Amino acid sequence: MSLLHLQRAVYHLSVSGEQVERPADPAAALAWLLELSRSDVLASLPAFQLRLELDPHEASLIERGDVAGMYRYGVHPNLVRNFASTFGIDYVTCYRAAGL
Amino acid sequence: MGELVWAACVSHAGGQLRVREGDQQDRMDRIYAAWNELRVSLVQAEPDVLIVIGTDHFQTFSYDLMPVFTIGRGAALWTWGEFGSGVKRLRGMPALSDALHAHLVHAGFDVAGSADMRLDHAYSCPLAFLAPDDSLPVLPLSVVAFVPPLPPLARCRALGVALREGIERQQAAARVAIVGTGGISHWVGVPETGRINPEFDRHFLDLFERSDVDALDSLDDETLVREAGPGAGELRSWMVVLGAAGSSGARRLAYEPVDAWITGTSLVEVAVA
Repeated sequence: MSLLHLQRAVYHLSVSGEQVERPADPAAALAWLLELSRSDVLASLPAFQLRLELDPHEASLIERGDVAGMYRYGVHPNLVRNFASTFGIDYVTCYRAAGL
Repeated sequence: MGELVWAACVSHAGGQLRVREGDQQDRMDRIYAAWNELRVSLVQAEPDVLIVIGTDHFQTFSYDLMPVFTIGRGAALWTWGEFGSGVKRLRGMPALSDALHAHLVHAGFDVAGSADMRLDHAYSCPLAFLAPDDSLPVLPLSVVAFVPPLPPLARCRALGVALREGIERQQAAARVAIVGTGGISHWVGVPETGRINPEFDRHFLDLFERSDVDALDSLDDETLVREAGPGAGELRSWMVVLGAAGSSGARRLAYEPVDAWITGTSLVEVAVA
């Protein structure tokens, strides 16, 4: 529902990408993160609650690994880079293909 | 009373850890030789602690909370382990960080404090070269470099001046070293990724070596990003060190534009006055 929530999701999917075990596919990883955000454990620890409200387009950007779309949408370039690195996406090639 | 005994500024491109061989091997080798020279210099200075001025790349901080300046106050400092550096538990120096944090706030710099600030490659990369056995206590100070509003370079240099005052007034560490990390030119995450601007890099290094503080202070973010890419925002760390060291010159150990590291890579030793 906002760039903030999209960037929040991208951040949590990408941080320490080389250390945390998560699904290797962006769509599965987003489903994993959304499930985590609704977990009872987080709900019982208010300081750690993770609020993610993504509209279908925003969710689709992540699920399709559309880094060029993220960049155009306004996601910070460093977050795009981290996301691409986590999921093995050559973002420069994607940018070129998208005419960026 | 503490004494600043050593100061330097270095690039922290993670590729230096991961891509050690390539088409520009001679350039890479000159950078690695400079790292070795700088490490020996640091050892000879016999510091009790190394203050590392770096920035976070959306590893520890996010838009949920993005402080301008943050000092790491923990007794233990964990790294993220990027670029194959491995997750490490480094020793902090809480007594020093507490003293410096208080001094900076009282001096007018609203620095945030973090008891558990995890460190990304802005810290782990230079430490892998400068203090590879992890025996030297570390005090990290993060300066935001990519997410506006960004502090002017003059403000960062002034922070360094205040930091020096704090170092000399505290009693937790007798011999203090400082290194600023980041830059020089690099474009990351943007369509121009991979671009390096050696002309700007050499101009900046010339100003920095001469400690031309008027010219350096006047570099605004629009100029930095246009001429040296978003990554040049990290030069704020260099300005903190310049201020702390007394703005009295620096010596370039190496500068090489290395394509595999997508960074104009440099190491300088900063004179302490």
